[in-house]
Amino acid sequence: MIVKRTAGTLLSIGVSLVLVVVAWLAFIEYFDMNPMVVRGPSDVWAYLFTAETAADNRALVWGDLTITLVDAGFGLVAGLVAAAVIAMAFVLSTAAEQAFMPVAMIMRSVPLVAMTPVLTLVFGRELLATTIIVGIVVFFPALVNIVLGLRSASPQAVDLVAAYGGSTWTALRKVLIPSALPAFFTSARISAPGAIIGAMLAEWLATGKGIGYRMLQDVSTFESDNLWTCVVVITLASLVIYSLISVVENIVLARFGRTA
Amino acid sequence: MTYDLDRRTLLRGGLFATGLLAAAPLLAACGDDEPSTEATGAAGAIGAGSLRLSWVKNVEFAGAYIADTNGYYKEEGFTSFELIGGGPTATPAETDVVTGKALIGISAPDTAAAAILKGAPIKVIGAEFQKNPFCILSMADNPIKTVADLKGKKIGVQATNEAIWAAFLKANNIDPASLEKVPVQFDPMPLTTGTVDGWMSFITNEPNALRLKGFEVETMMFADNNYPLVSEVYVVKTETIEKRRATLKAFIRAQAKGWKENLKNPEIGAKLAVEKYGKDLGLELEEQILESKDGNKLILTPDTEKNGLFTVTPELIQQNIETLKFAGLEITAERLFDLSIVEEVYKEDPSLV
Repeated sequence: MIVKRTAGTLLSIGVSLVLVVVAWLAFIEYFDMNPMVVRGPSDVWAYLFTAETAADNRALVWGDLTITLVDAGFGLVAGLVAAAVIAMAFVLSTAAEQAFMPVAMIMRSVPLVAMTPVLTLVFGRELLATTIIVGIVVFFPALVNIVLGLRSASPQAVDLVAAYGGSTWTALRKVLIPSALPAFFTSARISAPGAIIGAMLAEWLATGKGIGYRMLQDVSTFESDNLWTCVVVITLASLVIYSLISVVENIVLARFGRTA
Repeated sequence: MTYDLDRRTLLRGGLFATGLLAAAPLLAACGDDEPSTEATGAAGAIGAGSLRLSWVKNVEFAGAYIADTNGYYKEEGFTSFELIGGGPTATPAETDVVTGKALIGISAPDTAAAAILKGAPIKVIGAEFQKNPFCILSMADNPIKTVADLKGKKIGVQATNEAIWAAFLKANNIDPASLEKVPVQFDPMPLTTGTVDGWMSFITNEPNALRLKGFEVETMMFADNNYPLVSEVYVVKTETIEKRRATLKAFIRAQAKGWKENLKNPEIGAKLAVEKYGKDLGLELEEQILESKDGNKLILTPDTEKNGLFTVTPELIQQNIETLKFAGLEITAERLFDLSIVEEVYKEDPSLV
């Protein structure tokens, strides 16, 4: 069951990759794009594997990718944990929801590009700042999803726990959280690419490191090979993380006897 | 971009590819507005022109604003002339010129050389600033006066200046790892709050802005530190030089007329920047006047007074090529500069000098 679902995920990724490459080639071919700015899949391959400087190129790209993944990873975890904790608080207390929801909405409605310079003043330009910026990207959609998941728990099951003298905490642990697991994993999956975008935004505006800044730098120094390679690498990284979360999701949900 | 790409690819699979292809003609339609007609020189026959500026629309481009407002571009035969603004994260002007988004771009020789070495078919046909305007701005109580002072400091560098910053460090034998580069944007606030110790800028811009706000500042000119380059150069495609000389001459004449007005009265350009072209930037007139005067000093030198605006003497070209060499940009004068158009303009009409 798990194996079958995982294989299905991998197959769909393979198909998407082929489609993206075909669309990419067609785009270059059809629009006669200027060779100064556009690179094709074979150029990226050459840059990474067959060029004279391929080893240096790989080291450069890998170094940037690691920084971006660390930035995105910390933010993703922080955002999801915060969303899960606050979602539980919302479900346990309507007052908490009424008090906090507007704050969450504000965080969501101010464009991050505008907010980032202010955040850097408060939190500096290191890992703390990127974690917070990425966390904000991840937090809101995850919060809404998880609250929905927690509320989807069967009221009869909650009543049963209460009837047997269980506390609210027990109901949360035994009924609400298992019900919210599918929603939690969905949030994690859709947040992963978002976290990477957030990390690159933070790198662009705050830290000046990682793939986010490298791509910007490439544009002003005419390093199109590196630029397109970064796009490919970061796309693949998003895909891989998405699939990893899917695999974990399949395992955990199978353990809880759900198929979500 | 990547975000959308992954998600949609995964969620919708093949639908995405179809969507992309369907949307493509629309994308193409907005990209290409290269003027296609070449003219033989008669007024009113050279079609539309466009100039990609190297920075936001402040007084730095006073000559162009005056030429536009007073109709000099039209007088010289352009049916219309568009001024395209740049900024701290804009694509380099070279890219816009190569892809045909702009006929002419304003840039710097180091950026242009970097582009040419990467295969861009472009050349520099003239230079507004005879002296490199870049400097490192710092606060007087934490000054950066020499390149040695840069060590261990945090320097704010705009992404658009990356090529120049890298070349400057190389020319001065500074290891980029010996200092910390911080990405910054348009407003020098991070310098005043101490987030960074130094700020890369034009000597004409941020230093004046901060002085007017009452800050005591220190500046270190690139020109005084192994980096004497001309700047605000006109970059065009080599194809344009070959096939559209008349158009380029018309442009040079219009620019020369515009700049001459500003040299006489630097307040005209400042006013146009504040009230018309850079209206939404919130520029201050007093600061723009200072900047206009400082800019004029970089444009009008004994050489340009004698030979005409935007000319570059052979000695200065040689100095530029040597500087670029130190900065790791090995390029010959012939590959980077072609001043024949500017020279012809003044030969044909010596009254413009």
